[in-house]
Amino acid sequence: MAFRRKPPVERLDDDSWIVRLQADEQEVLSHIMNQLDELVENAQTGSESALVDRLFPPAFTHHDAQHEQLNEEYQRLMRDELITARRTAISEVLGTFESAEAGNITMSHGQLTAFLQTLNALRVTLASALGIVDEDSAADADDQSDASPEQHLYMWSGWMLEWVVGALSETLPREGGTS
Amino acid sequence: MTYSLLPISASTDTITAPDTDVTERVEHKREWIVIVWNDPVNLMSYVAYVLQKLFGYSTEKATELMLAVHHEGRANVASGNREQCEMHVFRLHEHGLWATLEEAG
Repeated sequence: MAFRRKPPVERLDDDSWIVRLQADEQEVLSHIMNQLDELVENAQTGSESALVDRLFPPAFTHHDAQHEQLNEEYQRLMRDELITARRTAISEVLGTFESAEAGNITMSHGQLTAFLQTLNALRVTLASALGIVDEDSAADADDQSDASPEQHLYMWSGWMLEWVVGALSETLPREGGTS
Repeated sequence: MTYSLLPISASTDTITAPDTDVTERVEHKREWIVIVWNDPVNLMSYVAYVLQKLFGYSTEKATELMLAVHHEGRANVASGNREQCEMHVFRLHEHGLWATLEEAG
């Protein structure tokens, strides 16, 4: 991987940021985000993979009849909306990739937020693929020796996510509105 | 390198139907809480950012809640009636966090 001269995410003005990806990074991300979209789309038809289970967690977890019924109702009302939101975000990010020049991708606040959510969804899904279920398996995944391509991508997505979080955090009110 | 996510009649005077308005009012008044649970994947900075963004917390408050999630395994991040809490949980799920709701107390 070549040395980076500039930060991977940088604010240009009030509502635009530049995301700098190398050609191979953009190609891999496009490929893997299309696969993520396919997995999420399959969740809509009920033929979902266990890989995306963590993207659709239960809202009620007590093992009693009331919570089971409430959870069924939640899934019935919200699941499709969650799938649509996830696919819309993926589509928005892929759209910015297609119109980008040489790995310099200009994104609005909404597009950068879509990138944030999609990167995180990708990371959560990769974690399932890598068998990361607790702190110990997470630490194993950080071991860079003999890492698989998916493990490299998991680590890279965490690094990029930190940059995007940093960029978007600058847009939040410093004092917050709630104590 | 190749990357892949894929695999790989009771008409009596003493029996009456439940008063649904009353039931709904009681349900509406019940206090529920939203819980974010620890998971080994979401970054600490990301969790704090999402809590700031969704609930308007200050950096300090969001960090405090994020650390509670990390060290204690869970944190109560919001409260309200069930509908409000379900919407909070939906938005947290939208951001990939493991969130649930339950009755307070």
